[in-house]
Amino acid sequence: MTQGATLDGDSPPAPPAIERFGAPPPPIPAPPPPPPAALEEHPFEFRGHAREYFGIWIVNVALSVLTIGIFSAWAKVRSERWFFGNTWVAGAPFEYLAQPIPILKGRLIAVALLAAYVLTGQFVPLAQPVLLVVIGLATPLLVVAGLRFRARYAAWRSLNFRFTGSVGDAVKYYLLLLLLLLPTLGMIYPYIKHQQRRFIVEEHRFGGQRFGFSAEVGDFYLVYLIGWALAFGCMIAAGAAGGALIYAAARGQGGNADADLIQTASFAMVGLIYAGMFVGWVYIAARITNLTFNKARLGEHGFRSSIRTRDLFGLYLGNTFAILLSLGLLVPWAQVRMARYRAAHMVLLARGELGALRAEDRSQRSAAGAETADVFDVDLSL
Amino acid sequence: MSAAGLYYAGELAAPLEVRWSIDRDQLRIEGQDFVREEPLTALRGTTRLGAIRRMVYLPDGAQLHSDDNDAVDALFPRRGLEAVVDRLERHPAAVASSMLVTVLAGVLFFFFGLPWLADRVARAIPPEIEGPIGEQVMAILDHTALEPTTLSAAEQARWLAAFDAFMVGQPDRERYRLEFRDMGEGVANAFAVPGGSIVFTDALLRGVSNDEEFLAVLAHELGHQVDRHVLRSVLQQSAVILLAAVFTGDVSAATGVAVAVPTFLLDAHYSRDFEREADRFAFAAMRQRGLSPEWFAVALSRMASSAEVETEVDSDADADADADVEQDPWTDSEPSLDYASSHPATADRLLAARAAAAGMPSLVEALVRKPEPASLAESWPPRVAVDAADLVGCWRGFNDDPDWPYGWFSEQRADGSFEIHFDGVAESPSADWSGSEAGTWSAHEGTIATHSKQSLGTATEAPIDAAAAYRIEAYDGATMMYRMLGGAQQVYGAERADCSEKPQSER
Repeated sequence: MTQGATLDGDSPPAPPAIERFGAPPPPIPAPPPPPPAALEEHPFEFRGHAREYFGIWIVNVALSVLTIGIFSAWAKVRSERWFFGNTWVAGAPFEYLAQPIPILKGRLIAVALLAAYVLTGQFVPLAQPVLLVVIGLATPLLVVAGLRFRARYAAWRSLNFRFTGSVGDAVKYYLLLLLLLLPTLGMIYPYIKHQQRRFIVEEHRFGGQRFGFSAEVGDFYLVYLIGWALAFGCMIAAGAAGGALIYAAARGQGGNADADLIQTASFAMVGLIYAGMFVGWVYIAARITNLTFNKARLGEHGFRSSIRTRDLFGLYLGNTFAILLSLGLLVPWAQVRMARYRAAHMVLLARGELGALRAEDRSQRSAAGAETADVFDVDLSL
Repeated sequence: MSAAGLYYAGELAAPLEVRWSIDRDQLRIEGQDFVREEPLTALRGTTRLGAIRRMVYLPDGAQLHSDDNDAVDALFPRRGLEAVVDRLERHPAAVASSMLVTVLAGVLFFFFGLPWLADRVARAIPPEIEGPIGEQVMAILDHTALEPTTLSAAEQARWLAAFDAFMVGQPDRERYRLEFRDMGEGVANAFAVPGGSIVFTDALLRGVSNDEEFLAVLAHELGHQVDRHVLRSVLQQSAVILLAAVFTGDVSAATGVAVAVPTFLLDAHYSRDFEREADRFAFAAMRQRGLSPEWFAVALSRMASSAEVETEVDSDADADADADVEQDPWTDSEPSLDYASSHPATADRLLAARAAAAGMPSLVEALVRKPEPASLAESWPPRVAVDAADLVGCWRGFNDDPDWPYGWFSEQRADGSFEIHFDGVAESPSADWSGSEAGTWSAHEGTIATHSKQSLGTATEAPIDAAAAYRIEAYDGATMMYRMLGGAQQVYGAERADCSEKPQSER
């Protein structure tokens, strides 16, 4: 309530109050007709709080523990629903619609496969490479099944996503192209990544609208070459610094080698080299994410992703330390922190009315419904 | 009483602002220019979770979205599992007890449940299936870390004889075999391979001074075999990997390290438990055969003195053969990192061995009464029967070997204690024999036995627990020649000296 603006009849009303209460509301100006392609920015927003998620997380962990893992499928649904439901754009949250039972089935299969793999490694170590090849051959199937599941059970503003990629295409992008890695000494890797990304983006649809992808192969090469250079640069710098330290320790005072110092320096060097590789990896992860979203289209609408390498690096590092030092209790905090960062650096660029986005035609919708009954309706991820 | 909501007709991503309410058994939705009613029984909806928006699905594909959680709850009075979970999630006491339950269940399971379970499962699996695994592991190791033995046939026969004598009466005797391998760079090591093989490296066998030390190491490795440690450790590690995957699968890749560190620490914990169990087995097996567990302390302290080299090579072998070998560096070189170490602290193991030796005759006692081995070299002169009383006093050692010039001064007291000061010439840190040794001694009919703590050279930081037997081959009251049994079998000479000339200990 504004000061001085009393409605008490005994005291004389102050002139400004009279003016404020007595004046008719200013006329609302009629909105000018929007230009046909007015660009409107809708920033993504993560509204969840770590405090609320902590309760959800720990209760679900405890129930999963007490049910020797069975409840973990329900736990997964609840945590995914919470993260989807707290991610908002253009006034609406995302929805995660998967049911626990298909997830439980998928987990049982995945656990069985993983157990077979681990035990083979222990009991028949020479057979493990064979198993690795078999799993490698199944990659396209697993990729398609995973993408289909995740897309089908995601929704926004009452419309579902869908992934329509075929296993045949996935074989091309996740198996056949990999055969070119060796003859090209890995230099074809950015091209493969570009093909895979294009496949993923272009085979997704929201409602009846397909996504488009306009990134060029050259964009991917630029990111990867810089990322690799960054990783090698950091590794060489770390190696040189560590080497100098070891050399200094080996010379020591009066030629006496200090074994402890050499060991410490060696550990530091290895650590720094890994950190260098990690920097390169984070750079590539951040830039490819940005590139993928910035070059993705949904009809007239686009996206802007502006994740920064140094932020992501700090997040990963801080989260890892926080989780270790808190004995795992800060896992919810770390997850929320990451979700908040990702949302804060993503914008939906709407050109025209978002409400005009349509559901799929009825015939296509029934096809999508039939999908849910097939063998792919398991979430094979752990 | 009505609540706010957004209505989606089902075809467009376009929300309509509505008010909705429950009217008897109907859901009533009122928009700006429409009203819709639907029986409650025809509705489905999302369950309550935190504060996220609720969705109500109408039969024709239309949806009502609402942030008014309590109002939506009234639409679905039937409360299922998820409603219970939701209430727990929002209840502070339930959250607190969940933390307690999780920690308690985790600790109980990983520290007691899983080891117990792995033990049960291992018992149910016949030992025969380990045979092919062991063959593969040995094939891998032979290609990488191991080389064929350089021991002569006679040396091998000697150790095999000691092995056979020790294994008399061992249940399932035929399952266990002794194997010799060279590990390069003089690495002294021993390990148990699935299927019953116990592998000793040449350097270990050449380094021990007494058969009893070999048998102490053997007893420990036999413990790994008998108690199926390889299989149990495989089962436990596999379970840890699987559970880590199941319970952290949702967590992003950032937590890779956060998962790897506890997994590693847990594996190290299991490994230490197995080492302790094998130690206990060894103590019992040794006592049963009339061997003092004190020999275990002797063997352990000798191996600890060269542990730094071994652990390095061991980790190489580990990478190749994974966890399939009960790899025994025998000790870990970093005493400060107990919780990360694959072996219990050496000091604790030494204490346990000495405690287990209670009531057994001392090593000096056992050595001095032990009959001379039948396999003495023919070139050795007969033993000269000298008793302890004649040897009491101070002696100065002499050594004519130009490659190994050093001297010593020893004082042997009547109460059974002795002290030696070495004056070595350091060619390298490892050949530096300067230092001192103190312990107990005894002599009987020309055999001298000592059990002492050696602090020799600069390479060793902790004193080595050493026991040795010598045979006197010449004695005339003022000088004597004596030969060490076992080890290098070197001959030493000593002459009587005045105890006032005893050098002062540097340490």
